[in-house]
Amino acid sequence: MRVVIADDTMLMREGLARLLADAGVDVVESVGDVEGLNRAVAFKSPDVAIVDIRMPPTFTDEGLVAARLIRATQPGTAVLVLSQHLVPEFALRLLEDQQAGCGYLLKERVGDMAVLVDALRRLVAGETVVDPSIVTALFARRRRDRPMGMLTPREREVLALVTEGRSNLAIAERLSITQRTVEAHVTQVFDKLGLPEDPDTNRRVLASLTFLQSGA
Amino acid sequence: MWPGHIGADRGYGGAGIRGVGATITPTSVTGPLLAALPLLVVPLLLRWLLGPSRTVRLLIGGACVVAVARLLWFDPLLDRRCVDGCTPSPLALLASSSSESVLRVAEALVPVLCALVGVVIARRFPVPVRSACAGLLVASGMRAAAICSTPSSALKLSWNILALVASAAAVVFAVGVAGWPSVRRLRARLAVARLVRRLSGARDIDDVSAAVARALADPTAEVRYRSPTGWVDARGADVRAPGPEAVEVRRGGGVIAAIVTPRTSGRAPTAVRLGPTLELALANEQLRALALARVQQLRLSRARIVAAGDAARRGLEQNLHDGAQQRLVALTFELRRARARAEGVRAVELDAAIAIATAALEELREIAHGIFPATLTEAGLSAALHELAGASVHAVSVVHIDDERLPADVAIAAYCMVAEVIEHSPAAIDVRRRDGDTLVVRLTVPGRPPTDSTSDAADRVGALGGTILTTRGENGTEIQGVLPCAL
Repeated sequence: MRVVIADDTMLMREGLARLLADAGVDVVESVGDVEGLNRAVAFKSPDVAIVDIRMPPTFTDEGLVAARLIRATQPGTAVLVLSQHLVPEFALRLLEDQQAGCGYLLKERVGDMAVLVDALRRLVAGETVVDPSIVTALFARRRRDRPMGMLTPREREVLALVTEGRSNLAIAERLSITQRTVEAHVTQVFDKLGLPEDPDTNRRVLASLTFLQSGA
Repeated sequence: MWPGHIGADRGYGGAGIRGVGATITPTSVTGPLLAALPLLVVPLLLRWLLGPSRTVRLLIGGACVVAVARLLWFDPLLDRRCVDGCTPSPLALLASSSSESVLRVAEALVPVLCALVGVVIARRFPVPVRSACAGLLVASGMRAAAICSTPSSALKLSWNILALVASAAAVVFAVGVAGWPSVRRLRARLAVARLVRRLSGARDIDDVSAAVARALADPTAEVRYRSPTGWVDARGADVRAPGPEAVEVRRGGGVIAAIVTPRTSGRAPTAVRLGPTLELALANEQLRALALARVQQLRLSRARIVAAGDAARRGLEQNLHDGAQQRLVALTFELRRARARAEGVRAVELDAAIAIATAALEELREIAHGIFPATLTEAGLSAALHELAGASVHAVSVVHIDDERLPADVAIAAYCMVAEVIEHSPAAIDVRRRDGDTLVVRLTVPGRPPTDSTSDAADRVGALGGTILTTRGENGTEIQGVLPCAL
């Protein structure tokens, strides 16, 4: 397998090259900027280009822009974008036009030989590689938009008992916890459901309605 | 009515007396002089005796009106007796032909000399007096020409008419010139009265300038205010120093403002008269303009401080990213390479080392992010806020975030505002671009607002000239930040 590395720090380029050599991957060229990357990809036609997201001149998303360009113009070259920290938006942007042969991983993740080799193999096979933490973050975002999903199992249990019309004391006896703990759970439920303290409304009723509407 | 005629026609005394009377009181001089007398002498005397009181001014005005009316009302040419009696040269009354030439010359010269003396004396008097004397000099010259010309009655009459017209014109001119300053004063006073009425109704910054412009009947007129470092307009923005044609408004010995009328510098005198009355209003405006200028300066300096702080933090984050973080990543690579070759106890030791290095990397990443949220500059406000919402310990829902590129300082201010709120409380985030040049950040939180006006976010929003408004509503508290963001 032939690979091109693009990273603006020499330390990273060399470390990655040694790692890849250990894994039996052929590093055909290491470059420090987008221009060099484009040239190397055009002339060497590597199987995979490993690109650091932050590169000169602005050190923001140069690598991402270059990766999308490579995927659009060089179908034979897969792209693995690496970053010190992960931004779900970048993953979405990278995968928005084309998902096959695109990868986005945390930089230190590829230190694990098994992860690196697996990622490269899957990319060459035309698959998509996305860092597990990105997947978690995107799912968390979806969950946020549905308030019921934010409740812990205990909180859901308390809310279910509130919906049955039980008082805090009854709930405390039922769950064998102190009344104070029940109060804390109830307050937490109100907060998570976005029910502010308000003299005009009964928050217990509103929370119960939300619970019933969610079909839980 | 005209003493010259009385002397010549009625025949008091002998022919000699009548001739002398006609000579020393030629018609063309006495009439206008008498007409002008109340105008020129009485006012000056009254003013000298009584000072410039209101009564004196009224008397002067009355005298002027009477003098002009009398001059216009009485026309010696329509006085048949005068035409009959005046047309023959008064010298004809004297039978003696030997003294005739002397008397002719004398009669011609006396009024000219009188008028000349008048002009010389009048050099010390104001313009209207001098003008009147000059007019009379011309009239006397014409009268002299009439006397000296051939005794053809037609020619003599035409010279007399000219002399009369010239002297009448001189007096009317003198009255006009003398009266003009009063008319102008009156106009200015009326303008000031109107101005004061408008100023008392002025509510906005622009109203004062507009009132001044209207008072000067010049829409281009503008007021600039003196600041310790230069000149500012009513809104406190720096402006050029006014040119020499501008009218300075002074108060307490110093210039407080200048009225600039680019269209006509000739209106300046009116402005000068407005000055004293305007003083108070403009002094007031100057204070407001200076306060606004100071606020503007402070805002800019606050923005510079914030920007300098951000630049330093961004630099620090960049150093961590390019230095320590990269080295640690490279270290984990090397450790993992060594681990791949190691066996037994060495492998366990290397695993421990890798765990420590990875933990250090994680910690460093969080520190770098705390110093400066790199996501903000890398991926924009929307991505950074989603990340922030995801990392919050509270329930944070994102209602809407306009995904647009924003100026860095605006994005950071909005980010800090959201970060401060969701650090303490659950919230719903709504960020929208309004009218293209404003960013509205709306946060709805249950219960009391968790942020206060002394926070970092308030500083940042203030530095941009934006505002944060907190209102308690039905669904908890709404914190709304309005940030100007012209790209």
